[in-house]
Amino acid sequence: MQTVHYPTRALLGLGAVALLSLYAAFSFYSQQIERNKIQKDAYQVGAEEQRLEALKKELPPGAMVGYVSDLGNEAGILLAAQYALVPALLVERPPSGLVVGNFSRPTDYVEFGRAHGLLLLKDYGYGVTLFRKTGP
Amino acid sequence: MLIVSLLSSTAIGYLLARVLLPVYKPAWTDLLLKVSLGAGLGAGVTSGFYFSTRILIGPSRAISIATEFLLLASAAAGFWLARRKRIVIAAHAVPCGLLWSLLPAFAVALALAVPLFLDSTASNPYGAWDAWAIWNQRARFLAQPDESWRRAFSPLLNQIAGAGAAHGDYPMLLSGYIARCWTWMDSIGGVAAPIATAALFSAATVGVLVSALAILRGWSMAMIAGLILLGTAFQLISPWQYADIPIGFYYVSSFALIQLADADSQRILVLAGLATGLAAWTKNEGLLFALLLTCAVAVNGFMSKNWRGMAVFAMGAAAPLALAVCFKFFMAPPTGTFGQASLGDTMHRLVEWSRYLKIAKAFWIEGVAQGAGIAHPILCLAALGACLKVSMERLRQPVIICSLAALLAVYAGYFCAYVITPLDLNWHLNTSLDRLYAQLWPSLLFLVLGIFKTAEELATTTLTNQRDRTTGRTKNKKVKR
Repeated sequence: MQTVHYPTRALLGLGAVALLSLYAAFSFYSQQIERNKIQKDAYQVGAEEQRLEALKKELPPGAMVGYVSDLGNEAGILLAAQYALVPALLVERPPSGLVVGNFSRPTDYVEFGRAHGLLLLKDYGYGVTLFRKTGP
Repeated sequence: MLIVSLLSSTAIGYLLARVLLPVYKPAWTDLLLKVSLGAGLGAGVTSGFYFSTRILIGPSRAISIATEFLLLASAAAGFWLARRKRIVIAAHAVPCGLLWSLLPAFAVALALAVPLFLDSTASNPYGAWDAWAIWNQRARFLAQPDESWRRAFSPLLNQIAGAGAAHGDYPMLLSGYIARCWTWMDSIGGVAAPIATAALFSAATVGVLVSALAILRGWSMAMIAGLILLGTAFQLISPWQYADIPIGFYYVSSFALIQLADADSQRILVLAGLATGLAAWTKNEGLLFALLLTCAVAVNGFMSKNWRGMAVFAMGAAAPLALAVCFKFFMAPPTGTFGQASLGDTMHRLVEWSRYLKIAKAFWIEGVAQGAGIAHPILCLAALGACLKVSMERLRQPVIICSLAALLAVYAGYFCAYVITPLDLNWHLNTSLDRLYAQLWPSLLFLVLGIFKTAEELATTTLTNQRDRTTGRTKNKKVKR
């Protein structure tokens, strides 16, 4: 009959590291679970998809469109809009003249468009609009 | 259909692993290694195939699926032809005595990691910033059934959001694989495919680490490596759906396969080369890794006069590396972080010593944050080193020296990248350093635990009730295992 004996220091080392690792795993787990409760879709990507869905359906296939917003080109909001609008590509100089409007609060879109050389084509609600460039 | 697409890519990778690797005993190590390698390598290979098919033939769903079936059939034929395999017995991979208790500990760590992944995913189904702003966004373009698929690497992509957001030059493995899954599903944009991909690579990384160490070093090192990895920030980054977990998978797979090849057969180096090439197809850092590891393999070949091994490694790396390089030079826009930096500015940053200090401080702070106080992976490794001792015999092996040097060089390369970055240094460090650590942990654990003596090697076996033939007495005999 065989009995295997491991050196005590080896067992102590393995045991201590196993316990430390479990402690770390549990610590990460509890911290992240708490964080998850308050960080639900932090950039509202899902909400942005829903907001822009109607507009996306009406854009011409393969469209390259401009982008205006009352928040400027704030990267998080702009990139979330781009993500939602694929395959349309948001560009600075849209060859089609179409410009997506993405607003954070109710605005007089016609007036906003006039001030920026844009003609309002459609208001999709929830701050989402489609303009066409009127000038060069 | 998502399940079918995941199974298809995993089957391709699994069959490749079956063709080139021997059969390892005990069976759990063999199955875990090949399924884990298969999942990651299969994802990489099918991603490359998907992208190449789009480039060469066009964005046709039928053709994409048909070419993959051809690939699967070829892998199955290769498996059939090479079905008689040698058996390699990993004697220390069978747990004995008290070492069994590491299994429930590992199971508890897994039982924490899985719900954490699910909870984080439920809270952020679109992943973290880079997932939806880069990887999955490009996958959405790439999966388009018309010419707009090329927008995934258009110079106009995200230009409107500023230079820091345009990443049309990033390699395509992750976006390609997710786009491939969506193409199979005939539905673009759902969150299931990126989530499944993140889970696949996270699980495969743990699987390769545990199984390779079980074969090479034994049960205790395998379990402890899995435990330490699950006690790092690796598990926080897994649900982010970033390319850093896949690239970490290719890093650790490359190192593991190189050591498996060193211990057994050189043809395994084809898989090591493939994993290295796929790292280059995953992220820009992978190009650096591929360069450094190829140098390490060359030095190892030179030291051990093993020229054939270098050729076999290059054979495996050739296709994905060629794809990555072609993409970089002929398709990707020059929008990369370093692409538009002038030589003069770069030189100026190189001699700005305060940058080195700032980067070193950030590396230290982020390094400390990778653990939970005293439960830090580096302290764990130090404790194990003190208790088990380093095996000098292993530390003198060329393959170990070259692997450690390559990993250290990658780490130094990351440091240098920050030194010359044209982006705002604070912003660059704050938004990327934690992910770089996640890339390196699996490989670091694999290599460092690999040089320690193991509990199994240090053990003694007592043979009880042994009858002495000369005296006829019963006695106990102690032997080294």
